[in-house]
Amino acid sequence: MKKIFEVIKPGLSTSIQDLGRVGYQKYGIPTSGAMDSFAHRVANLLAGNQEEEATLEIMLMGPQLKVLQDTVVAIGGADLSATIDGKPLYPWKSFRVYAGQILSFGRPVNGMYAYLAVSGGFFAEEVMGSKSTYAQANIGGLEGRVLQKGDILLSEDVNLKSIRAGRYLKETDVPNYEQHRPIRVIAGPDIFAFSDKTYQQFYQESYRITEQSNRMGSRLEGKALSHADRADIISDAVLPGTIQVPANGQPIVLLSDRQTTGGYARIATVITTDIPLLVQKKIGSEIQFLSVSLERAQADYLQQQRFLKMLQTALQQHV
Amino acid sequence: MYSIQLYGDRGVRIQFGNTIDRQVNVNVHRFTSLLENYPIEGITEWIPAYTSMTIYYNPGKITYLKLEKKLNQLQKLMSESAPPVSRKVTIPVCYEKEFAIDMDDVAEYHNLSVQEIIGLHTEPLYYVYMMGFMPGFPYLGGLSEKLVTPRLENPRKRVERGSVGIADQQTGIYPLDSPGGWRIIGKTPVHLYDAQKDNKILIRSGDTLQFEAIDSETYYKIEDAVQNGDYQPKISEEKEGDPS
Repeated sequence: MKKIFEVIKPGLSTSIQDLGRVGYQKYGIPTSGAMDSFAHRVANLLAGNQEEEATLEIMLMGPQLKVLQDTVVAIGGADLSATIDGKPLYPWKSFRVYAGQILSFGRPVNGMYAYLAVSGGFFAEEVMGSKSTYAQANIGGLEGRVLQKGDILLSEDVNLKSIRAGRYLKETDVPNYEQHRPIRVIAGPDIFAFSDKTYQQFYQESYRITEQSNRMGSRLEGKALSHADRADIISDAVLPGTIQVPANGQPIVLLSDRQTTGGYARIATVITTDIPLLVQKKIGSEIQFLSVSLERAQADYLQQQRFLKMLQTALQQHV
Repeated sequence: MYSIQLYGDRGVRIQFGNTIDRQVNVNVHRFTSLLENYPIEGITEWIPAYTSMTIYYNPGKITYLKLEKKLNQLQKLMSESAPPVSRKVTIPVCYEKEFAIDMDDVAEYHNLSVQEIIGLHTEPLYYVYMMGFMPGFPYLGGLSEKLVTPRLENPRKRVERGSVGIADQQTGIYPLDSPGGWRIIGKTPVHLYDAQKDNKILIRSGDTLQFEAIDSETYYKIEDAVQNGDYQPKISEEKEGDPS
């Protein structure tokens, strides 16, 4: 283990995340984990890691970090104008950085969440099988909280000679966070809590992402959705991407730090591959929803899994 | 009742009933036992709730149709499967003034004495329908109708971990410091959830729970023991017949 970064400025909300806690939701423990798991995985692969290693999740206004030891880093996800000693560090590419250099983030260009991966992965105590920070309960990451000024980040030791810098994601594979395409969902599970008319409205109207959105969920605002009967349901499990509609009719899409159960009717669930597109939308963006079949959703999910496998193989061959 | 539906692109939801009912919930827990005893490859985790079981799976390992078929096979075993073992967990609670900021208001609301409130709160054997809301938080059934009290109009910014409260028909324990609008009538020194411990979660769905009144001296003794890691929670296991 080695000291890899010193936090000069922590940024707005920077935390250690991995793919989240699996198996503890039955006890009420949220999964947490990277909001955009695709960007997190790719950043890791580019830095020569396994995709499940911990990265630094950086929201909108990024930190300033002093490099304490030579290493290789890669950034995936949002373009938050990262620089090393003032020179640009482009997203979706790996770079060698040297002790004494300053890694800074600046003006957000596109997207909301960037993932900084470091060769060897960020070190944190595993709590219930995951290094992910869940700040509400002080679990995981660095003392269960977001970064603060003066924190020292650790990484696992790794033979740097075996890690090549300059690896990148092909431009055609880079997600476009600006594109206007609807967020795809599977209807339900509470389909009978809403009339057909409400469903039509849900698919036709656009909804704005409000500033009350966070790691727990995206709070949306638009023409209120009415319930067939009532908004409350008997408390039941919620999943990543589940869209709840409370009594005020304004939908909430539940995300990484969501509670495990909820008491509002669920109109639909965002499909796995579209969650990154949603979380990378800026506050104030208008979004629309589109209903897709399970077959379509799973085909895209499997396609993405294959893509990550291929990327990993391709990167390994280029040592 | 047994009906199965898809839930997003990686979930399946099985519904066992439409009301908060102990018999329905016991079926949910029977199904948990079956999932534990007959593991199905591709299932990553499950979340039992009042009337349903939600299963999270990896479509790269098992297709929805195959999973549905396997779950239906498990369901056929339900009638023969033994009722799940129910544990009884005793939670010591100090109802004295320093730990019970809303006790006087609750007593006044119901026109009862503090002693009567304590009696009514410690008497029932509560049933843990499900976990959720916060890490280690049990949804309890069984609060005396005489204690049903509305939430605070203005929720507090911070309620201390271990606080025991009432909100409408529910009673519960705060596993962590958190904002909240429950009427606080006592506090337990026992931790429902402890990230540092191997056995992190004290209570599970399907358990029964009883509150035991303790004085403040005992409270502080137990608190010390919890701090030092030598507190043994009172848990007894009993094979429970189907409540009917």
